Amino acid sequence: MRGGQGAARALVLQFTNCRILRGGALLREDLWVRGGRILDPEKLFFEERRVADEQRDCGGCILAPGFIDVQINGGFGVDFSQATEDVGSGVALVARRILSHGVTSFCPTLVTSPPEVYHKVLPQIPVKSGGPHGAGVLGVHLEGPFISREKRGAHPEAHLRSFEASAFQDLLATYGSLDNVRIVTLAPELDRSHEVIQALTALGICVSLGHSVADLGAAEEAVRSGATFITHLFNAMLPFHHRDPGIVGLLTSDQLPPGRHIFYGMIADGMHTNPAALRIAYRAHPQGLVLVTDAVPALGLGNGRHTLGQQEVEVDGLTAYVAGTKTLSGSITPMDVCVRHFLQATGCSVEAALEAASLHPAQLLGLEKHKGTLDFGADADFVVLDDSLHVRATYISGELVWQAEETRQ
Amino acid sequence: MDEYVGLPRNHPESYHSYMWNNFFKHIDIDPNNAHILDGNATDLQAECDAFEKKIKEAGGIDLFVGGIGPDGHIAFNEPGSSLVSRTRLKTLAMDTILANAKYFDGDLSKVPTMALTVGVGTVMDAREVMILITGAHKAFALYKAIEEGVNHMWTVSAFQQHPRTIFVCDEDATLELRVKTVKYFKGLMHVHNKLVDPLYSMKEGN
Repeated sequence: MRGGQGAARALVLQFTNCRILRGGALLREDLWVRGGRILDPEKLFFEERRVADEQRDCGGCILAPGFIDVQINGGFGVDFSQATEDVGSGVALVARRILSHGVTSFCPTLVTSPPEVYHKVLPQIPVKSGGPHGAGVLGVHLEGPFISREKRGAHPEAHLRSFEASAFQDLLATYGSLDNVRIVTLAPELDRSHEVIQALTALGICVSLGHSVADLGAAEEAVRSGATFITHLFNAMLPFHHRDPGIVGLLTSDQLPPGRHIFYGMIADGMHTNPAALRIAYRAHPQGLVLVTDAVPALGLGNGRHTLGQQEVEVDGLTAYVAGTKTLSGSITPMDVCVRHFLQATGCSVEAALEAASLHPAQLLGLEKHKGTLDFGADADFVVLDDSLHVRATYISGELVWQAEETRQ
Repeated sequence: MDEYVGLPRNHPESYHSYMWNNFFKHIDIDPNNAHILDGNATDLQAECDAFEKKIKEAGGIDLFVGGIGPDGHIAFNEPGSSLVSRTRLKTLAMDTILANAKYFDGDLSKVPTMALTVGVGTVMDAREVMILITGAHKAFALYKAIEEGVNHMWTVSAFQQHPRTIFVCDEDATLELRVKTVKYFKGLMHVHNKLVDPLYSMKEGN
């Protein structure tokens, strides 16, 4: 229960002996929480003349806003794109297990699928607040089917679509309902895409460019129509070329609407992007970088062979291969590992690495007043990290929802 | 001891913010025991009178801790203040506004021009007073405060007539004092050490 009239009587929690990420810096400050929200202790002191009801010593750890994963296809054997009778249980399982990775909110992602799948699955994934049961669902990310044939990657060719005569109506008919949808990835070079982008943007849905062969001009036009995100930069798009930088050129484009900049997802697992490429993107446009896992159902499964749907997958540490081959089978790197790898590969500050996994995705989705921040009034979703950025505990609405083994009493 | 008039309580330069960030948030004081003048009260004089009353009700001030301005003011008792003044509204002197400008982005128009402040008389009623003076820019004010007479143009000089006041200074703050004065007070440390020495050796002996 957050806010509301009962909040003033709710317990005041004071997290002490910690450094908190606020205003882009790690400050030696206490974090105060009441009614599931971050509280202003100065206001509490001078106006209400109250002290904390409970103090919790954080052992010198870092408190950062909970991580937000806007692209995750499943995990722990669950595949969000599979139309089962009980999609909800699968989402709930993943939501609970990613708490240990420091993720407090996420967008379950569906890859290119036939309309029947969307019609069956989407209504079963409502937007939901997080809690002890698991990370919050911010809405679904629909990656496809309106994408490029050439850049489909692992998406099934048979189910790719383009916009026919009625453009947006086609999209609506394909997906069934947009009620639970938060992000749509599409290829802007598809005919009529601009009306679709405008319609989606008008509905408050974030449009992302990806799995596309668009040149920079087409990409810039898409941004002017409302697109705000790039799906896994570098992957499934034309490579950077010095005379036509393609979608990658959006990072430094001067043709974007004034005051707006592009956000871009990066899979910083050490495999999908060469660290040098990661550094080039980061240095070109650090404010737009959003860490995503793009994790597949094999995430979180132990080493060895696993059967996932029609696929046989071999997991070896942080790599998943198509069984018996050296072909990568998607990412299985948890978000906190991505954060650590990103920090090490770019040499950026700890603050920047943490913001890439929290503040930036929140800004992308227009949620930065409540998520991805430890500012007063924001939801008390945060993660307790040691100096090497390993997750020691995860909190949602000020409630402890996960704790590392050694920390438990 | 004071607060700007018209500055929001949560403004980073208000004295509420200063006291919260530098003192209150680091200790376990009961918020009901922290009293700061409200510079946004509807009736400013009533706020000041209430403050005097609260001091009386708390049994008076045991220890007053403060600094001085470059113009020798104590709290916001600007040059010309009555030496028997009580808590009231004061207009800030230009010296003070200039000194404070650095906290308001160097923009003089942003610096508050009025403040509520305890009076000289209010502070003189405290049982013990400790004033901290550091830096060369305070040296002249320190000279006026202790080597010249009691004068309402340098209000901190009033403490020459207080029974228990200590001024704590650094080297730079003494730059305008007579060598004789500085040597005298520094020499006291030698006497002090000799006095406490037997105590220490007694403790080690045990």
